[in-house]
Amino acid sequence: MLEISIFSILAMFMLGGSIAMISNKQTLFSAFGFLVAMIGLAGMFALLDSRFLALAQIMVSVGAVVVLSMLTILTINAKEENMPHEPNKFKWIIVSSILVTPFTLLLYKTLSSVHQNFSEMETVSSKVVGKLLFSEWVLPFEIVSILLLTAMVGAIVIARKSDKTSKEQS
Amino acid sequence: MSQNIKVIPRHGSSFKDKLYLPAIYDGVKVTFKHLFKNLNDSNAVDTLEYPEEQPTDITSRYRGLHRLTHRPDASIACVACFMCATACPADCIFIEATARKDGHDEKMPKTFFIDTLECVFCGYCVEACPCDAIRMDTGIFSLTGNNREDFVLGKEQLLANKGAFGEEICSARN
Amino acid sequence: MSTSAIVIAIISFALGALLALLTIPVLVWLERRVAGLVQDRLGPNRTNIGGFRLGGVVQSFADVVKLLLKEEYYPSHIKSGKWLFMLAPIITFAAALLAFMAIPFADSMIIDGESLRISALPIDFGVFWYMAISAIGVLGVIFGGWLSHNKYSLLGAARASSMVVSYELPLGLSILAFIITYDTVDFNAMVAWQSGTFFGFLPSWGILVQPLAAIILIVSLFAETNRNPFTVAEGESEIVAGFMTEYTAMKFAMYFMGEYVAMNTASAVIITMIFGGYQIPWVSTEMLLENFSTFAVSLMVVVPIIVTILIRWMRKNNTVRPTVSTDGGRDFETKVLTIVMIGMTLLVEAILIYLAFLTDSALANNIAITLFQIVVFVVKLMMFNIFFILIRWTVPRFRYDQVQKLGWYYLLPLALLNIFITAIVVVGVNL
Repeated sequence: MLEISIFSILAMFMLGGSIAMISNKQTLFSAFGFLVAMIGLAGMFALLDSRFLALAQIMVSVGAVVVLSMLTILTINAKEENMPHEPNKFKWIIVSSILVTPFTLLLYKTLSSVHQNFSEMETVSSKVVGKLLFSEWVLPFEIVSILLLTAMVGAIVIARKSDKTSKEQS
Repeated sequence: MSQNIKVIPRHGSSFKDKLYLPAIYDGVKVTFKHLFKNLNDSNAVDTLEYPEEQPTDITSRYRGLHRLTHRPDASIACVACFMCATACPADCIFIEATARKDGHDEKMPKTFFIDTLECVFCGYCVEACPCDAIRMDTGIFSLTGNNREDFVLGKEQLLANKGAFGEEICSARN
Repeated sequence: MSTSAIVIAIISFALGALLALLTIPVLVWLERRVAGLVQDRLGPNRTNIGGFRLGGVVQSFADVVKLLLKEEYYPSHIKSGKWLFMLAPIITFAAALLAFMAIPFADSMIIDGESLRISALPIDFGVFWYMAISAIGVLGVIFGGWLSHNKYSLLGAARASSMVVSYELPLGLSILAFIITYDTVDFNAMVAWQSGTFFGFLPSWGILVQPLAAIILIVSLFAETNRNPFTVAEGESEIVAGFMTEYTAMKFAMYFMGEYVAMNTASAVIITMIFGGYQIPWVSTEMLLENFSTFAVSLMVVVPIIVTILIRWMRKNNTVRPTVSTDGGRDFETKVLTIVMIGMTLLVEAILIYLAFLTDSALANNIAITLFQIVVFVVKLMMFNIFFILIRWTVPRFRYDQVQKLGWYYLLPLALLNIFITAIVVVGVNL
C-alpha cells in the first residue's frame, strides 16, 4: 500500500512536470517542470531499490542536463514575445495524446512481461552495476559512448560557423 | 637622468610564483600569526571597549558639541549679529534677536537654536563669530535623545555646556 | 531491525541534523570573530543572555531571531513565479543540508554482530550521494537570479552557476582518483582505509597518498561553495550581492545559511576523504578496541591537560582591561564556566575509570570509542572550517576570467593526469 501511494505521488510529479515542461511559455518554468519530472524519475528508481541508478539519474539529469539547459536559458535570454505563437496548443496536446494511446497500450503490454525474463535481485549495489557494465554489457556500453561522441561532434559542427558565413560577416 | 631609473623586476613569472600555493602558504602564515597572537591575549588588541572605556585622545582642536560663551559677569557673549547663521552651510542655526538692556551692547539673542541633527560640525560658525561667542570645545562627541526635539538645543542648554579645555569665559569682549 | 539499530539510527540522524544546523550560527560567529582577530580587532562580543556571552556566540542567535521576525518583502516587479522565487533559496539550503547527511561521524558500531553506521543516512555510496545532491544546490541560485528580474542578480547567477559547473569537472575527477585509490565509494570505508600507515611511518591520509588530487579537491570545493578566493557570484563593487540582491529577511537568510552549511559539508568531505575523517592519525578503531585500557588511561591524562589550558585561557581572556570600570558579568561567567568544565572533566574521568578498570562490557567500550570519534570529528571539522575562514581573510579574489582559466586550463588537465598516474600505479601494485 505504501509503495503504491509513493508510486502514485511520484507518477503525479513526473506527469505534472512533463506537462508543465511542454505547456509553459516561460523557458525557466519549463526547466523547472523538467527538473521535477527528473527528480520523480530518480524517486522511481529509488522505489525499485536501485539506489545507484537513482543517484546517477540525479547526477546526470539534474546536475548536468538541467543545470546546463538553464545556463543556456540564462545566456540566450528568450523573451516571451519572441516565442512562436501557438493558439491551439492544448488542443493539439489532447488530440495527440489520444492518438498515441494505442501505442502506449502496446508498449505497456510488451514491457509488463519484461520483468519475467530477469531474476529477482535484492538491493542493487553500485559495485554489481559497475562489474556488470564492464564485463557482460561492455559492448553496448561502448556503443552508447560512440553515440554520445557522434552527438557531440554533431553539436560542434552545428555550432561552428561555416567558412562562408564567417566571411560574409567579416 | 638614466641613473635615476630604477628597474623593478616583474614578479609572477617564476615557477614558484605560478604555482601560487607557496604564496598562499605565506599569506596564511601571516594571518594565522595575527589570529594566534590576538587569541592568546585579546586584551592586547588595540580596541576601545567603547561605553565602558571612553576615548582619551580628544584634543582641544576637536570639534565637539557647540556652546555659547559667557562674559566675565556671566551674561551671554553673543550679540546676535547673525554671522554664524549666515556662515552655516547646513542652515541649522536659528536666532531671534532682541534689544539688550544690561548695558554691554545693543543686541542679544532672544532665542538661539542649533538643530544638531542637521549640523555637519564643520566649525564655520566658530570661525565666523566676531566676538568668540560660539565655540565647539566641549569635547562632547555623542549626543543622545529619545525624539527629534531633544536634538534641537536652545540657548539655555548651549550656555550650560562647559568647555573641556579651560577658557571658560569669552576672551574677545568684556 | 533490532532495537539497538533503531536507537542508533535515530541518534545518528539527530546528530547529523544538529551538526549541520547548529554549526550555522557557530560558523557565522566564528567567521566574524576570526575575521576580527586576524585584522587586529575584536568582533562581536557583547550580546548575552543573563550575563552569559560565551565569547559572543549569542550574537548569531540574536541575528537569527532578527531575520525570522523581519518583514517578508517581495519586490513589486516580480509578477510571475513568486512561489519559485521563494522556493529557490529553499532548494539551495535543502541541497546543502542533505549533502551533509552521508558523512560518517564515527566508525560503524558492531552490536550483536550487526554493523550499524553512525551517519545520518546509513548508505554505502556516500560519495555518489554527496556529488548528486550538492549539484542540485546551484539550481536554486539560477532560479533566484533569473526570477529577480534584475541585471545584477542575473549576472551573479550566471557567474555562480558557470563557475560551479566548470569546477564540478575537476572535483569529480579528483574524487574519482580517490575512489580508484581507496577502491570504494563508501565514506566509512575510505576512513577505514586511511587508518593504516604509509611508508611505515606516515599516516596514510589522502593528502599524503594523493597530494595532487587532494589539492585539486580542496580548490574545487572552495569554488563549489562560493568561498573566497572564488567569490565571483557576489561582489560589492561589480554586481552588488549577485543573485541575493532582491532577497530579504528569511529568504536571504536561507541563501546565507545554505552557504555556511555548504562550507561545513565541504569541510566534512575534505576531512573524511583526505584527513582521516573521525580518526586520529596512526590509530585505527580496531587498535582502540583492543587496547581500550591504554586508550582510557591516556585519555584520562590528556583531558585534564586540555581543560586546564582552556580554563587558563578563559581566565586570561574573558576579562576586560584594568582601565575599564565594569566587566559586564565576565567574572561571574568565568567562574560558572570553570565550575562546569571541572565538573564535566571529573565526570569524564569517573566514566573512564569505570570503563577501564571496573567493567568488562564490550558494548560500553564501543560506545565510549564512538563518542570519542565523534568528538575528534567535530574538532577536525571546526579546524577545517577555521581554515576556510582564514583563507577568506588571506587571499584576494580572483577575477572571473582567472577563475575559469584556473579551472579549465590547469585543474582539469592536472586531474586527468592524476587519474592516469593513479590508475597505472593501482594496476601496477595489484599485478
